[in-house]
Amino acid sequence: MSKIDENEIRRRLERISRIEPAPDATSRAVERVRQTLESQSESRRRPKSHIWRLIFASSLTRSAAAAAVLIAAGYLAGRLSAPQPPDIRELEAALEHRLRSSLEPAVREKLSEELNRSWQTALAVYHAGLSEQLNAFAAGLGEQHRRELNEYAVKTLNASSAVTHQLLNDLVQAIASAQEQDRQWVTIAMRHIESNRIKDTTRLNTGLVSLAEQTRGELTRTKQGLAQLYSVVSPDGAFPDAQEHQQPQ
Amino acid sequence: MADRQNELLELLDASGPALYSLLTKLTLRQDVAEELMQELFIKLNKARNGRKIENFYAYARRAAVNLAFDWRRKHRQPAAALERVPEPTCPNVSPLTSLIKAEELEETLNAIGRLDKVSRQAVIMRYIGQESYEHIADQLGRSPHHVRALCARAMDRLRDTLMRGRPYPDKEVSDVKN
Repeated sequence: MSKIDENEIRRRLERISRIEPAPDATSRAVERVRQTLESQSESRRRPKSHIWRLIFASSLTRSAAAAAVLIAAGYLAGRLSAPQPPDIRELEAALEHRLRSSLEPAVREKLSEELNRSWQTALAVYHAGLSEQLNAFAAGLGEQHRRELNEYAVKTLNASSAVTHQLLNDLVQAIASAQEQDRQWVTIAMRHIESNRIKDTTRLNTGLVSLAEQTRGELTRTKQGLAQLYSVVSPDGAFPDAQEHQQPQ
Repeated sequence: MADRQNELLELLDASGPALYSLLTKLTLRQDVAEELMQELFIKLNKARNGRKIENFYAYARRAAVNLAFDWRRKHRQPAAALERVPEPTCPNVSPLTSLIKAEELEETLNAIGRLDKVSRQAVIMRYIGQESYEHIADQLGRSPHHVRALCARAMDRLRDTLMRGRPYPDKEVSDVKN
């Protein structure tokens, strides 16, 4: 087992510090962040103009807004330019006296008929205008509802694609994890195999050396035996016992 | 609102590549670094709503380191017990070398992730960012002497963690042997 000391840790940290991403990957990442920031900014700006866009979306709402502004302006001008109110009590007394003396029932009846007729006409006109406005408003509401439904569908699709993307990422990472684990196991196995191979090689070397030693010993012994054998052989090639047999003649 | 947006875009122009490089070093993967970079700037955009941040770049870097180590914790691999594997008796050139080195880097980064936040920042700035003690002290709001002590203690803890290791169960090793 090797020992990890501070120098080893420093070497590893230095190796990490030398890792640099590819330039195109860096520019791609920066650009992607920039786009995200800009789109977020755009989406924040959008709600501010929403009400004004709604008002100016159709001619009907534009006319209604203009009418409201004109009415408000007229009311304000009338209030400002009106003369000072007279004394109410005095006016009431004079009016009562005059009415009592001058008004006849026929006049009163005619006035009431005219009033009724004018009210009915005004109500009919108002009813027609109101029904037109209601129809236009219903049409606009339907259009807005359809638009909102479309937006909601687009958002839902985007969200589901993001979820799918996330799930795919998770799957890819899980596969990468499994491959990583397999690689680690293979690493350990190959290191064991390597260790065993080295041990076997060492053992084979030792065996060959001892075999060579033994062979050399045997050869030396054989050589010595041959030398002894040669030394006991006579110079003319005859064996000692053969010479002994030839000497008596 | 527009000021904050401009400030973020300035940070992106000035320090975006450096932050991406740091994220790549800490995750060892470019695709993950790209995702974390997105997440970082979205978080920065939200964080700027509430309060005033004095050193925006230092804040962004701290957030990047935290994001990277959160990712490492979520996707932690079972580290190979390299120290338990007997080393060959003679040096040899093996095709496994690069794989083993990559595993060593993962192991070291996981060990850094187990440090406390301040020590982790100091180690990363000193040994991965190659910054001076004075600059680190300025960024962390501490004295250079304190930063030196932090780094020394962090190295001790790293050594202990790496020595202890996270061994594989013996069963798996024996399976491999068989």
